[in-house]
Amino acid sequence: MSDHIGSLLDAYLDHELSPVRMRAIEDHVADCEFCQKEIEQRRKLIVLLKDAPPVPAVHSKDQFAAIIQSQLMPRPAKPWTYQGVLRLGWQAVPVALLFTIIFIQTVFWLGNAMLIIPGGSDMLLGSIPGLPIEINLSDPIQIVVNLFRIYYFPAWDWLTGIIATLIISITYIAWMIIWWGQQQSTNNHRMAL
Amino acid sequence: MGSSNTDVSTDLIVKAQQGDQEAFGDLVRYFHDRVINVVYRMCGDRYLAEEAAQIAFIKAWQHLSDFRLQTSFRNWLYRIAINTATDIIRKEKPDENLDDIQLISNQENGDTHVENEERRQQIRKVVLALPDASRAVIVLREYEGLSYREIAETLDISMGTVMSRLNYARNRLAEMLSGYLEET
Ligand SMILES: [Zn+2]
Repeated sequence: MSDHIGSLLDAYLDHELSPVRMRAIEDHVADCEFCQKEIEQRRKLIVLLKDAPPVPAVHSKDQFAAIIQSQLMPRPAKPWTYQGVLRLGWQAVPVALLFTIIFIQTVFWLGNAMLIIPGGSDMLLGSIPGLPIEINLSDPIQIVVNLFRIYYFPAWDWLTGIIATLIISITYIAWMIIWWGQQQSTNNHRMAL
Repeated sequence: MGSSNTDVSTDLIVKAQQGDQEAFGDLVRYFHDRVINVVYRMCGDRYLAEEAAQIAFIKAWQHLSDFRLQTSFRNWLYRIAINTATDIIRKEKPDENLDDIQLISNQENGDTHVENEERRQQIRKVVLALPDASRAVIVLREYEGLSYREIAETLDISMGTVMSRLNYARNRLAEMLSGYLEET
């Protein structure tokens, strides 16, 4: 007969031994009354310990959380991280899109309005200092410059405007869907709390 | 190592780390019962336990940026809670008889309910009589159901130390509670 279970008793009862060791002990215990009694006593002790008086609460969960929150000092946020910058960029997407739409629409309508008003186009061009009246539209650099100087916009037709708005709207909706998905999973986590 | 935060949204922890007090409030609500449980089993007095739990959560908030996301948040909190409770009981000895007074006044009818209550209080006392280090292992094992590995991670000790402390603690408890163990 090999050694008694000894100090391995607890690890054995808690299933914290390797399968090989568990088997070896089981084999030994099967024929050893001394160890059987030890195990029996230990099991009783564990049951006894677990039957503890319930913890008397001083505050409810919500009261407690409120107390803690009232004591929280603003903590300096974590220094800039790559993930943090990414997250910030991601959150800035809808704002950027919104501004792009407003910009395009404003420019578009302003350009058209100026065309409708007699002499409006000249007035608009004249109001921008340093812009030469004679612009060679075949020069791509000048076109880009003019894009930002409003002047070129009346040449934008309705279709271009609609397509641009559409692309931006689709991007916006896609962002909203992804955001909603993330929000759902966060809510599920919170509900699990 | 392997114990990640499957039971709590990593998102909440990240938000709290960035200073979101609402997110931290959610974490407090989520872990309140467990932390209160641990500190109460450690110090055996509801008011000391309340105080220890509050201090522990505030400490957690202050040191949240030290917490590494790939480790278990629960175990990290447990460690803070146990250290805080140990500090508190060293400073002010809990009033051992506080909860017993009510017990004695109820004892007149002498039914099994009172007997059970008496036995439970006796267990509470002997658990409290253990050395702090052994009691921490018993609390995490018997009342929180942690595995040896999780206990080792929480208390920052080796698996061997977990085993020996648990063995020592249970031997002591078995001695002190021998009356109850032989009864049935
Ligand atoms: Zn044996």
